[in-house]
Amino acid sequence: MIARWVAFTSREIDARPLRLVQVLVAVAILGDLLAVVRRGALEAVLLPASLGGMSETFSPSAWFPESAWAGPTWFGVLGLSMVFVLVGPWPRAALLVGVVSSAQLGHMYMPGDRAIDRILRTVMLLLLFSRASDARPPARIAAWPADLLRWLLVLVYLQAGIAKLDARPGFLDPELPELYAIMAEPLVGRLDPLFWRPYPLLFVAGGAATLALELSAPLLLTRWCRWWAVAGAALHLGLVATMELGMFPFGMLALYPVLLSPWTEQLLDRAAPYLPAGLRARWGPPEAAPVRDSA
Amino acid sequence: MSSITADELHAQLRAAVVAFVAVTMLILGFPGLDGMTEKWMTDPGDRAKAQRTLSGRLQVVAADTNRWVRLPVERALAPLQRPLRLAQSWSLYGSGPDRVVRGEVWVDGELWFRSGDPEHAWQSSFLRFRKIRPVLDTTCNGNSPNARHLVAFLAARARRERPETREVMFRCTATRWPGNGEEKEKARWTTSAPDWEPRQ
Repeated sequence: MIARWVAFTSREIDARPLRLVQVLVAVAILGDLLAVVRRGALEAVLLPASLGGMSETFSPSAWFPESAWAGPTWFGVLGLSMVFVLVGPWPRAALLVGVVSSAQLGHMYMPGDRAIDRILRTVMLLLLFSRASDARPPARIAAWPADLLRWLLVLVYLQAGIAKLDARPGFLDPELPELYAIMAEPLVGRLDPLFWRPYPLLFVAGGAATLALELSAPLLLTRWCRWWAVAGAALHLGLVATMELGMFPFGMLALYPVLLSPWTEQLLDRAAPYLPAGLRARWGPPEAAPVRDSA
Repeated sequence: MSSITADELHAQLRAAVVAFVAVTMLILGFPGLDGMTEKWMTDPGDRAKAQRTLSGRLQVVAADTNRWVRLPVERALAPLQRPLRLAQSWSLYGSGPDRVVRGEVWVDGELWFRSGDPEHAWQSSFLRFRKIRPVLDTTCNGNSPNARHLVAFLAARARRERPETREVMFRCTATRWPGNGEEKEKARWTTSAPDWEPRQ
């Protein structure tokens, strides 16, 4: 069994899905930083309450004292590090700086540091130890960071599903289905509660599908992973349409290239002839035909 | 005696580290344990009562696993987890609210913002932003240490827009679903000239 585990953790996969995750995570974080500016939340999020910000609490793990410059500094550093993750020249160092600066922003404005921030930090930490974050990544890399990413998502979705089982009146309640209350909640949902009230069965069906999907997340560790990912992507696109969750659905979707493998590689192979030469060299088929890994 | 090559040693070390990380992630993010407190199911009476049913016995096992396995691992990893904010707890959208809760901003007695109301959408993009909404949410539930700063912030914005403003009120209402019934006030904060000190 130990020998099989060693062989399993030593196997190699096409580097492109993990590299694509790295790019999309950086894009999601940059998009979130832009949203802070676009939605007029810069002072609220980056300044301490004593200087006109909104957060009373300041974690003792914050490296800098409460000041007018600490928040903007980490904000700039995080943005710059994500640009460096995208365009080099030191993507691995940039990932490390990104993890630290994102965490420091969280320490300074704790109410805004949500599950998706923690998920993306965890993923950046995994990427940090993968050759996918090399300045010149090889065509094939060790599979274990992709395996740990899948494992993380199994735990995330399973825990979300189990938490939903405790909800009262519950996701399958025909009178007030939980999914309706979530999607029509005026603070975050986009659905009009009055308009959608006569259709509870739609939400019961949606709730049942959500529960089935989340509780079946261990399929991510099997060859059914890509099919599960199609349903998972649909769930997150549904969230984009029905709720205003900011980076959450996009950050989650950023992780899906690994789940959708080997379709991700096949899509990149097909798109390669239409890409400019520089991008084709980076994202086209590896010179040596890769042996696909579908586990 | 067989000799081991550097590559084999590297592969074995990597396998051990990956196994360690995977098991640690499982322990820290074990579904259903993260919401438990350390003292849950420690009372001998509660434990004896729980032993009578299968679900009760499972609860005791879960509580013990949390107390003797998950929490010690979490404490051991705190020096890494805390600075990098990597807590592995993922109870995403477990349930919806049992009432329709709306936040409102009133400026000099005039309604400027109401959650989910396109007619009154002042600062709506800001107030619905994922980093701001949690403050609104907890203010409505009456347990936000940041509530006064939210109100002060909104008042500053209102005064910037209309310098003659004298009073800004933030309040939250709760209504039975689907939200067209009688409103009950959940929280109210007011700030007014000349001191602009937010008050409940």
